[in-house]
Amino acid sequence: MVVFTSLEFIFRFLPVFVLLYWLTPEAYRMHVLFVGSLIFYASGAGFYVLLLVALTFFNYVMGRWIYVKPGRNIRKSRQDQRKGYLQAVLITDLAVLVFFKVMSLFSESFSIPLGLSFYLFKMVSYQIDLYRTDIAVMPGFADTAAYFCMFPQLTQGPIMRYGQGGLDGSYDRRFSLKKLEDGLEFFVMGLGMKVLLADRLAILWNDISKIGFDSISTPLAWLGAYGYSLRLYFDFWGYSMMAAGAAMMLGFPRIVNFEHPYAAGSISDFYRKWHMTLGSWFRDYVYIPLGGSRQGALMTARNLLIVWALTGFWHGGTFGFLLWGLVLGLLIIWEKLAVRGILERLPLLGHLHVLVLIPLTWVIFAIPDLSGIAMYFARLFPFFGMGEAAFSGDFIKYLARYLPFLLVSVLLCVPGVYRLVIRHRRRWISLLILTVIFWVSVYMSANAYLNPFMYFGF
Amino acid sequence: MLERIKEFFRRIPLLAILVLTSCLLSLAAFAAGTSVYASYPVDPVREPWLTALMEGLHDGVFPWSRPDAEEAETGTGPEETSDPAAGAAEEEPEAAPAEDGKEDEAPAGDGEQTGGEEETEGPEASEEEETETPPAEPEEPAGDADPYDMDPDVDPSPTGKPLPALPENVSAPVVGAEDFGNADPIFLSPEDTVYNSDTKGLFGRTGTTYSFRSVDDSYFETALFIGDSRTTGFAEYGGLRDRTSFLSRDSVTVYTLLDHKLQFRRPGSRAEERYLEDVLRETPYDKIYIAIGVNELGIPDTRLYYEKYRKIVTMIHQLQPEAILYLQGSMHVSRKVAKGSDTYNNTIIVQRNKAIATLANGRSVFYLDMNGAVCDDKGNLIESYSGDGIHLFASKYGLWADYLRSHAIVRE
Repeated sequence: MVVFTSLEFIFRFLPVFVLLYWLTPEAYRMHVLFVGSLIFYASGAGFYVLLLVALTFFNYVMGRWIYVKPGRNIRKSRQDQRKGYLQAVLITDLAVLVFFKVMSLFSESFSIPLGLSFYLFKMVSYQIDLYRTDIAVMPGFADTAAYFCMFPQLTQGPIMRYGQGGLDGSYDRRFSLKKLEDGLEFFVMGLGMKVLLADRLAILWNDISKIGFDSISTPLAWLGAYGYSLRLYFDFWGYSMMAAGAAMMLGFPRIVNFEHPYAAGSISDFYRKWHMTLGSWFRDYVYIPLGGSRQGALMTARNLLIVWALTGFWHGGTFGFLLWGLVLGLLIIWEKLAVRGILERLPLLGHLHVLVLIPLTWVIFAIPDLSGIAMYFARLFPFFGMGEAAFSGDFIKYLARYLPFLLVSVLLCVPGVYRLVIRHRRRWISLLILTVIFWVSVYMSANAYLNPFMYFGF
Repeated sequence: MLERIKEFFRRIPLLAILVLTSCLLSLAAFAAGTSVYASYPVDPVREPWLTALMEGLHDGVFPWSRPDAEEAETGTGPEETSDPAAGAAEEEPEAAPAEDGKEDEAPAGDGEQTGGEEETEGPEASEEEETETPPAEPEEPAGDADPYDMDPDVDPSPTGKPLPALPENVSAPVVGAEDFGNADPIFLSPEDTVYNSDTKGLFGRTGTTYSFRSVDDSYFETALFIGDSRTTGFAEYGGLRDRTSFLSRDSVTVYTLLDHKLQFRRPGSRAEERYLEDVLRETPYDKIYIAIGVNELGIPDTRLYYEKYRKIVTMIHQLQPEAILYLQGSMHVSRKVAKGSDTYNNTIIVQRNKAIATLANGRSVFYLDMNGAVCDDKGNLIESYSGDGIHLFASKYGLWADYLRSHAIVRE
């Protein structure tokens, strides 16, 4: 149920919840959302729901103490007091995060609670926004709890800000058929991306891992790197879009988490368009407080490295993720300090920069061990005499198998194509396509749900 | 009223379409539910009714399908095993229609064509067996049914006696494995099951026996390898690609081997899609290797697997009576996979390997078990040999090939 692509979510939880939600009088909708989300969470995370509830109460209470009405003069002693509360709550929240991340490194049986990285980042942003008096009206308990726990964003984000969600009254969250319809359209589009593209392309990477990196041909290694890049994109974009759609069906504004990153002109631009709610979180709560890019080249480089090391740690905490973050940090520093002018003058070069380097960084992201990464790069650039292509026909075999998925994926990476789809989504032909996408996805889910190995038939 | 419905439809077209189609599909699934979808149990609290329809679709079962026809059909897919009890319930009738349709599997007419007159073998062969002469193949009684094809519903052991032992080095021993105690018993058969391995006919255990020896790669030039994705991997990475022929398909099972086209690769020609039966009718092979069994792990139970396996071996023998048949025990999975799955589990694999090993006779049917070459001393596939714990890394297929090179039968 906790997975959006499961039939239990699509045909049971979501419709029942949406109906109950809108039938509830407006004053109690956030209560319903909070309780419904806890049920949703408990179905996937079990007793960790207690941790979520405890953190929700703790953060709400601390938030009350931190809150002041914007525009008022704050006495020094009150300001010091607020700062103390903020430090206490941030240390607690981050300690919980670090504790689970580190424990999971040492013990295989110890898994990070579902969605912890996402909901704790929401809590941190909530406290800092209160401290900065960015939230005008003190949020009530139901609003706060619903914001932290709302099921569309609980397991994989997006990391929406309190203000972005319109919880402060900045967005009309009353019922309308249009919101319901729009939300459903985005939900179905996301479902299709996840089930029909990402899950299919995932098998390519699985196939390559099965062969063993030491035995793949160089063309297959590149195909694998691009296949993985696209798979990750549609997996996460699709899921974010489903989350956005589900939230829209509950009257929330659409949160955009991806904005055609592969069409970006530089790597820093790529990460302004990829997992945008995470990127902007690090920008607003880490990079800018550290001084951003205003204190000279050296400090900028330091700040970027800190942000990217933290981003790597947030993704997993293993050495591989740390390495991935640091490589990206270095690439962005290099880009900002050395080649920015060239890339701006020659946009084509900028696009190439993204399209060649980003897939290579995803290879580091994908492979958990260093020797595996080294071997994969040795196959990508076969000048080191490591490994050998054991079957020269492998590229043709896998290209033929995955070509349709790759082509559709590449097409959807083009911003113009996507905009065309969005603009014409109300035409009958689009409705027909969406209906087909929905039912084919349901078909795939119904059978994958029963037999997780269907995708990996031996 | 009509105007209002139209207006509603105009404002929420997708929602309306999806709700409408969901209702229609649910209704169809519900209406056909008790008969057609009897074997697709749905928990209506957690899943929509149309789940059964979607699962059925995957197996080629439609709401308008005749329920009786479908039971044979669905019995061939592994998907129904989500509910093991239901899977077991429908596997039983599965065997019966297949029994009736045995002409499709092993046409008697063909036995005549390919069997020839020289060597025959059958129930009458018992006299020759006593004289230690090389076994003779019986002439197929024209128009009569396949003599080896026994009804699985009769007592599994006609004699009830254990099989006579084979001499040393004639059949490879079944490699055991660590039992984590987590295998789902629904997929297993009782340990004391005596398998119906027809001791007089094709699988009889007396007569001249042959033992394993080492051969070079030219041995495989007249061989055919039949199997699932593991055989595909072996074809691509085993180093015998330019020497021998392969017929394989991902996720194929003993229940589907005859129904689907497989990928047929021969040295020096393009891969093509062919049915097993057609390939066997077309080209005679000296050796036929069968490696299958991992996709069936989630289908109850060992006895049914064995019965189906035996029929396939019988059919292959009838079409290729001269060939040496190698039954390869399924490769074990890694410790991580075995410990984490009640299905993809070495306990089940070992039981199934033991079952098919009873078919070996040391004369024309041989059991091979390559697990010793790729497993640790507890019988788990060595973790560093595999990416997913189920398939060998490309660089390790050579170990399998080496095992086959050192375990070959030469009948002079």
